[in-house]
Amino acid sequence: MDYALHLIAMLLIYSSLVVSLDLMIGHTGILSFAHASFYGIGAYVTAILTVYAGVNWFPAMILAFAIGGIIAGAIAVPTLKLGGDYFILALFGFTLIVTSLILNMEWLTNGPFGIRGVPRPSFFGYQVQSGFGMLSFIAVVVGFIFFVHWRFARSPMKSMLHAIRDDESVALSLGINVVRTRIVIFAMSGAFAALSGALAAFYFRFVTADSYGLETIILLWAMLFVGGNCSIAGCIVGPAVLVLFPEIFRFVGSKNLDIAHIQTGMYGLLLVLLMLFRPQGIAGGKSGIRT
Amino acid sequence: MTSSKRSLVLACSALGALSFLTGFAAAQSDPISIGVGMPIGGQNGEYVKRSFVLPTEFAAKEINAKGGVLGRQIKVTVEDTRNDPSSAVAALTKMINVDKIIAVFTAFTPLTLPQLPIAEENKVIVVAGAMEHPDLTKSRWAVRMTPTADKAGPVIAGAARKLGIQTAAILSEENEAVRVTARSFTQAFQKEGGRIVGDETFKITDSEMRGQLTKLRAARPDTIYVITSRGRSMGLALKQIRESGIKLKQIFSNQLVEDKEIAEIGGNISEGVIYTTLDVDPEFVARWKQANGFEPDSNAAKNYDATMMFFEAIKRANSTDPAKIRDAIYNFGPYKGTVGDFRFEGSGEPIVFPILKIIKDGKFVSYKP
Amino acid sequence: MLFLQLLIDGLASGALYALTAVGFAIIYNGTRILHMAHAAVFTCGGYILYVLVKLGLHPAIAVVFALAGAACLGVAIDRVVYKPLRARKSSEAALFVASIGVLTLLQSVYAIIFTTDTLYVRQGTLETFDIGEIRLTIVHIIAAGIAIVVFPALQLFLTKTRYGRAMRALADNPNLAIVRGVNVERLYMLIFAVGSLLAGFAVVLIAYDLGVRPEMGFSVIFVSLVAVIVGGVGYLPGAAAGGFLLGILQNLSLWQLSGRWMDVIVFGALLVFLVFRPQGIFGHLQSTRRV
Repeated sequence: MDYALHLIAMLLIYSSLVVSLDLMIGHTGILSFAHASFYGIGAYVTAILTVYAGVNWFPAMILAFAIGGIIAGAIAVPTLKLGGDYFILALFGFTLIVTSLILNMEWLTNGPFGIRGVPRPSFFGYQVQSGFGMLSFIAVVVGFIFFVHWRFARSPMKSMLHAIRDDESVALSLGINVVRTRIVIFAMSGAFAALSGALAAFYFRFVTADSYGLETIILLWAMLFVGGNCSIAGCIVGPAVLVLFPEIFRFVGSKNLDIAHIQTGMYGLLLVLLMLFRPQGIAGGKSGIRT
Repeated sequence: MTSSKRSLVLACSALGALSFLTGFAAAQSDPISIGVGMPIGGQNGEYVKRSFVLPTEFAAKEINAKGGVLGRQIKVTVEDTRNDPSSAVAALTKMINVDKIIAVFTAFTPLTLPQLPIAEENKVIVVAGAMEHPDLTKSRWAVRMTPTADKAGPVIAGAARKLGIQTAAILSEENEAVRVTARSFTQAFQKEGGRIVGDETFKITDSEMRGQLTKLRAARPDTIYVITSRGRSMGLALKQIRESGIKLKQIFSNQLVEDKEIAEIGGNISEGVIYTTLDVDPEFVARWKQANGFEPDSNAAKNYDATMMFFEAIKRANSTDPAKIRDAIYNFGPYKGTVGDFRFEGSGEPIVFPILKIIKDGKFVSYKP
Repeated sequence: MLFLQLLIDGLASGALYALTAVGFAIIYNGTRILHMAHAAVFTCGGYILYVLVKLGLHPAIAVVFALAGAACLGVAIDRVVYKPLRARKSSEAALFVASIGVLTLLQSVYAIIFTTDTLYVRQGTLETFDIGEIRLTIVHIIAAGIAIVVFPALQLFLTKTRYGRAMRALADNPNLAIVRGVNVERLYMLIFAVGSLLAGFAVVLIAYDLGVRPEMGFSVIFVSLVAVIVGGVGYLPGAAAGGFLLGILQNLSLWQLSGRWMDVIVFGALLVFLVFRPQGIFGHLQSTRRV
């Protein structure tokens, strides 16, 4: 059963990341390539605080959330004024710098060794156990993240963001402070990504720079666009396809070792085909970003 | 909202199908099931297949041909850990739940460390034959068949000082185990009166090291100690050292210099390199070469040994209970493998020291300082 | 001595970056596609060279085929993937995701056909030449030679031929080219062919020196992206200068720092440029050119 539980846990963690990425890309039209970094920052802050500083899990998680938000805000101020592709590139650069800093600031991050032994959360002296216990913990936090975004998708804020996304001049003429709103959304999205990172740290009990780099951000983008942006359902379907689909290969034809590459190739092909024939994604609606 | 419901149904049915498969595969129990979880699809997939997956499969094939262990056949399941911790955990839990493995053969620190807690909880033995990270054997369920990374440095330092080398530079990969070796070398070399004049690193994906080498060249070291975890980087490093015009008395390296990717570059770039390794039994080399068509490097031999010793431990424990097998391994005492003599005394950390070899006319021969 | 040698090493790798960067810039300026699959086109040239040399073809002839092959693949990607997307007026996000899909797909195809091992086009070490204390390899010299021949040739093509001028016009203003009566689709084919050809020049040298492997294009493409930004989008000599500058910067950073800080420096430079001078170093030239 652990196997199914692990897949559900991964599905939940990725979904929570994609839902906060969707807030930026799908709703506000900010093509962020830094999401994996905030995910990593959250994981590392949690690991450093709990392992090295002995901080309790809950304040560590709150701090991860806050630090993720602050760093995202600080990055947003200078970069968000850049035009579309420039912004993508700036955040590409940011992702690579974060990875490199994690590897090189050994005094803080233990460098390429990663930090192991992140404690599991505990409630009133009872430590959450692997399996169902940990899954429930993740489900509660992810449920919270989803709830916030679901509330948000029903609030008047939504149409304001869509106005910013679809036509900036219209948004300006409506008296919306476009720059400030974008920065706030970016910071908020970064904070939630860091929260997902904290979950990943508690779940794996180990953090390493490898897990939060370019490959992860490309995976997250793929999840969002496969599922369909601007849609809570899409944020579940995308990760479900990209987490569960490769697992099927563990059951068919595992004799042939090159299955690993066939699998990656099919995921590339899927992206191309989706963009060509169903650009809104599997479960995306009409309200998404123009694709 | 309908679309979200539909997707929920979709996700649920996918999970349902998965748990069905889980139940289906669990029915069989006759062969002894072991798992191999390695990053076979990643950037170094071919190397991983040849030196980390094939040895265990090869050992299982040999033992099965002789009638198996305790009268039961060995069934090997190979899973891709895809170079990320999440997939490493997925691969392990899949093998535990579906294939009912009693041990997993694994390698590479970022993939193995997150697997350890799961293996501990499920009482599955983690056999990381060639993994050198010192933290591995802090787990009471892990075992390795190689000296830890910090053993090689002092051996090289001693040999270098005996050759009268005063100043050394390190060119190493940005990798945890490799950096442990680099540090152990630095400490030992300085303690014996030598001086480290340069310490440059490169990333595992890097091909070009000319800048680093130019800098080392200006530091005028007597020797460069090249430490990598992949044959590819080792080959490119040696090639570029030869091209850089650095005047060296000697080049030192680790066992990766034996990998077939170095020979593929050609030009005798590894000639005269002194390196730490374990001595691979020529009889094994011949047997392997006949079956697989190429020479095994020492990592392949270590992984083969780890698998064979594991089978031996099942026989000693006379049981397939993982806890009993684990105890049998930890108290194994001396074990004679294809890479020499190991001793296990109460933990998964073998008592074994690397030896030195030198490359002469393209052959790997023993070296006495 | 150290400084000079690092400078020369930097110029040599800079020449290769400049070739890919200008290739990328030609495509980007003309089509506004963040053509990530350029990395796969790049790698393709290397594999063609490897196969033909192993088949016993003379290396010089193999190089011609490798260049042609890269150009064909670039055009094919445009025809099969980008053209339908363009026809549908897809957004930059959709084109970008599709491009990443193509890259992932092709890298897997290479891995399936050629395995992940590095394949070497030539055996042994490179020929070297000493000038005083400075050491040059044959690759240094050929890289310089190619840069000296290719860039002026490209400049001539862009300024003296009808299609070259149309390409520049398209970069400045997509509508303008249509007005002038140039077949835009044919122009796109030419843009992809020329851009891919330039990547081909870089890859044959890298393959000759360091071998071929499926993801070899990935890191080069990032540096090219940065070079385009640093040099200023829309101005080709800027991209070339950006490539040289980054090559030199990467190598000179080793002068005072350890190699591990190379990423931080390169991408830090990118961020600084984006934030403080998004028009690139030569941005001011662009405005005068337009007059």
